[in-house]
Amino acid sequence: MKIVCFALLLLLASYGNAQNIDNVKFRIHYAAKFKVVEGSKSIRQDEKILDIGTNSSKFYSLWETKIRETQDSVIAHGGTFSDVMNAVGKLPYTHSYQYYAVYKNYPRKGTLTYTDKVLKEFIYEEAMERPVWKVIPQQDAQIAGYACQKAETTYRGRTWNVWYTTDIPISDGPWKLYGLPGLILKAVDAKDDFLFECIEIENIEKEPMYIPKYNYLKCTAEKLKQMHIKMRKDPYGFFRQLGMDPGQGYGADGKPLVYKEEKPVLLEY
Amino acid sequence: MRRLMLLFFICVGYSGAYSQQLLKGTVLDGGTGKAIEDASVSLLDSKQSALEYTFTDKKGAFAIRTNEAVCFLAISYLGYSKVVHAIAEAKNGQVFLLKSEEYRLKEVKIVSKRIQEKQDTLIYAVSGFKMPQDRSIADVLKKMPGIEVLPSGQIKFEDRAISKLYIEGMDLMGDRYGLATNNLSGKVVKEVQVLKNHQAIAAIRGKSFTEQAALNLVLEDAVHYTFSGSADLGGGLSSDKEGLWYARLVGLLLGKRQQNLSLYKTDNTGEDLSNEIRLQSRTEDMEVESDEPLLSMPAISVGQIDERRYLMNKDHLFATNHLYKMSEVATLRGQFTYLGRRDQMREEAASSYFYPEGTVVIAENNKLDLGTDNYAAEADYQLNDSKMYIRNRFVGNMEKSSGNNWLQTNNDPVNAFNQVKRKAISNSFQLIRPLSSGHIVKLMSKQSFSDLPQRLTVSPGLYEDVINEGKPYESFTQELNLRTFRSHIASELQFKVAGFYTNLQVGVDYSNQQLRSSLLCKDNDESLTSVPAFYNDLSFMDTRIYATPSLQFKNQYWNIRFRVPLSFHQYQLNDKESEPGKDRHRYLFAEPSLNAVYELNAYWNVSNTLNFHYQVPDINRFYSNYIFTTYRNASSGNKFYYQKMLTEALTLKYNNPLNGFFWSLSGVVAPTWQNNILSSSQDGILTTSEMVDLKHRNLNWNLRTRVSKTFGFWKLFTGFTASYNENRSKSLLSGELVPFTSKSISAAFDFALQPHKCISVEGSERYLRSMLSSPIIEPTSSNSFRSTLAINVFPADQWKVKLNNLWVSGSKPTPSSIYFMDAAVSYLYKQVELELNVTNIFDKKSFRQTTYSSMSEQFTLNYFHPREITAKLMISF
Repeated sequence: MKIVCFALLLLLASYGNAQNIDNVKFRIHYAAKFKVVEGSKSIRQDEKILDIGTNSSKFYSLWETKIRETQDSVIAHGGTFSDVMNAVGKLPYTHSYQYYAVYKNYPRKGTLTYTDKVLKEFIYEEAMERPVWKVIPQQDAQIAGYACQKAETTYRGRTWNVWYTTDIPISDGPWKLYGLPGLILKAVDAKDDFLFECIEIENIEKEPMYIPKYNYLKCTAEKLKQMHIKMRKDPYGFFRQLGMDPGQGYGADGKPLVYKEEKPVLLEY
Repeated sequence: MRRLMLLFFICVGYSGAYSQQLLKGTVLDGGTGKAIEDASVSLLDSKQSALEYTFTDKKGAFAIRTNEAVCFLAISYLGYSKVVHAIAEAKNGQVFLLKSEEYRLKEVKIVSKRIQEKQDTLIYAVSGFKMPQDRSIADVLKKMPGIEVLPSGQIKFEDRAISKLYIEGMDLMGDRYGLATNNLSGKVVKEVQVLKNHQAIAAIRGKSFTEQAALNLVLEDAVHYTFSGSADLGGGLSSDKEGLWYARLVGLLLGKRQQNLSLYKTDNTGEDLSNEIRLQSRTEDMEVESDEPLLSMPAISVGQIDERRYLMNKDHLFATNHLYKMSEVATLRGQFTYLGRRDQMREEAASSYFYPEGTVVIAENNKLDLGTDNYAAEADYQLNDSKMYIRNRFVGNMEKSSGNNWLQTNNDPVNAFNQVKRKAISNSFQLIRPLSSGHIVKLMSKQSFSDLPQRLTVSPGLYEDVINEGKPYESFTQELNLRTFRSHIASELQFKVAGFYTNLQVGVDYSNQQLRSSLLCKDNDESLTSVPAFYNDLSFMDTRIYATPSLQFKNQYWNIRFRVPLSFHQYQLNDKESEPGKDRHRYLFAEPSLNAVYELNAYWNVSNTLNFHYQVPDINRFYSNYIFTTYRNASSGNKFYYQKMLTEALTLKYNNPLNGFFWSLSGVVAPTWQNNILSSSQDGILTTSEMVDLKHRNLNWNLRTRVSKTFGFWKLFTGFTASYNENRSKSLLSGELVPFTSKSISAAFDFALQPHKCISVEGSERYLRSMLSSPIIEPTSSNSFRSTLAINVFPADQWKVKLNNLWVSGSKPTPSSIYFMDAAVSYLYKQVELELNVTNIFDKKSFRQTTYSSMSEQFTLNYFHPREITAKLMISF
């Protein structure tokens, strides 16, 4: 028994769960609202975080990250599933089922790293593509106490209207949006499928920015998009693609399993 | 005001001069003189709104086109003071120096826009999944991603059985929810809510969770506070001119304080109605074990072919479930079911039993009439408060089964009549209370009593030498009564030690079984005599005190679970027919198990399971005098024994979801160590077996691999599975220890595709080879092949057509094959659906096959339903 405990502690000591990539200086909280399925009126919510560091930034879901961190921590301490759910149940967060994270200027300047979970963890890198913005004067607004100006762009299949503030001289924003002479505090797409609006701004000291060390599957933006589409279009086919055989296709009474196909609402097309 | 005026003049005065000019400049650190890259350079209008902007390059240089509306030039970069110049003052090629400063953001926090939902519920709108062909809510559930409905009616969510099925948030069905899912029309259900990780007990909600989900059916407003239902009626004719019927009446009453679901169903088309009342979920702390009869009912099963093709049945089922809500937190639920079955089956079999002195072949022509009447009732009280949970469940079950088997055994007529009557009652109590310290205390107590009288009457009088001192007689009756009392009391504490989570269950489990058996011989003069040599009177007690600690660890690569259940057993066997009468044993069993999963990377995964455990048989193995368990099997064994089992399973998996490729390879090795062995010998058609002392070891191992691939078109899926199984065992046959090896190899290919939304196709091909070898026989083997193909066509919303094909073939004893084709067409008009079915279109009636078990080989000839035509009318109201 002692040997087993010792071995477990060794394992615990030898593997970290995350890799530090920068130090967080500022933290911007956004309330996010989004549609998931085309044609559906249902709107989901989340709280997103933009962590801004010295060289890079990270945009991620606060709710999903906190839930995942809690799960990992409890399990690493020998907690059963009940203990995990016990701890998660006490968190003030719920699932948003949006697992993506955007790392700008990581691993190097001008490169973007994108991670997401579609039953499995995926990762890809791409060159940062600065949206071509058209600033729209005379449509100023106050957001989170900051004077903001409007700008517009058509970027990767969507038209975005954003409000940015030059009072925060950081050319960054939610998701892959950046490239204005100030921080984007609000972003809405023209179809009202996505909304990000700043609800909190914090100065942060001595907190590392990290990328979780999961067993990522390397892919491309296009392949990940296809995963999301297939997951909605043919969920059982997608389960099979992941090696999980749902044992389906026909019911026990011989009736075919025909699904109403759905199209996911994606941030980029 | 002065400043504004000045601004105005500057702008107006110089705007013409700077119209559409390119302004170039360089931005440097005022302290070090180094270039600042990515500084933003903006042109502002009179209200300081940005009109244009750009960023500096690596050298700190920028170029921006100005126009007449521009009044200011602003340069900013994080960590430096912002610089604003009137555009008139900016010169082409100018160097702008920025002064570094510590930058802090003005912190803000807006509470009102922070939106959260504190729920873990998935909601499926039934309208989004329901297809025209769907009748019951089970049909609709099957289509919901993540939800699976097994043929037994059990529902799984994300590969795990659900814990509860609620209707409008109320637990009407208890653990037998198949009645609701199979019979509740999909039309009355508005929404299916999946309550993930649902903890049904309010007192530990948020403190202790389960991995299981629960389902809640939200019904259409039209069926609230009213009575609704459906009626299905069907009739038909078989090619043997037999009349066929099918009827189902369902009534549903939903009120604020009470719910009722009642149903009557009858059928003679081969559908097994017992699936409807099968237990679908198990509340482990509330379940009690049930005993199996030693004189088991005869049954016929055709391995590769569905029961509905060979079961000749006349079944009736009545069930009613009522839930009364006593208060907001207390409910009382009652459930009553009656199942009456009258089944007939036919089979011809030739069984070869291999012995050192030669092979014994027994030919049997079976005609079986089975009858079962089962009455089950349940009363369940629950107080489900946030501070206390109390549940008490009382279950009563009464069953009378009989099996009349008319046989021709080696051309001699034999009648074996079985009868089993079961009376069982049980009570389970559970109390759960959270403590202020955050710990949880659980108390659980369950008691059960069952009485299981069994009888087997065999005529004409067989085995005269053994039973009636060589004199002929008319029949013998094996009587047996098994009584069992069980009591289990346990408590569980959940707490944290040194930051590690711990869950410890301790308990005492007691069982007392009494077995009495006697053999009555009916002489030709109708007088009954008891045969003393076949008399048994014994009791077996097991007292177990146990504690179960466990340890779990997980990180990025490893997931390890280690458990060491410790239990102290005191066994006491009192056999009045044996010397010495009392046999007492004490053991401390440690049964460690280790599960480890190692994720090599995102594609590869290795998992290993190692289990060690002890197995102690129940009283059905301990009697010292012979008991006839069938008309040609008698067994005894009076020694207490146990066996040790080790199971080692290793699995390697590769999966690449990017191209839909999956491969797995798994192997299992399971050695067993036994102190006793079953010794069998044959005398004519009579097989006698008894347990004797002999240490030996058996070994079972198998290998399995599966490859599957999905394609990006037609929802095409293909899979290939191959497996090999080998079992090396020993039998004591006629006093000689005979090792034997049974092996099987199987290969299967399955596919599914949907080339168009109006048509879907699914099929499978499976090959199986079984082999048996031993030093005392020539190796023997059999091959079989099974092929299925199902085609569904939906020409219009109201119409559906389906065609099912099944082909099974075997090579032994003679090449034999059977092909079933079924077709159905249905039309739906508003609330009425009409379905026309033709099953077994080619009227195939029999099939031969070979199976192996231990040192025996069975050839069977089975008979099936002939061609049947049925019409069904289904109405919802």
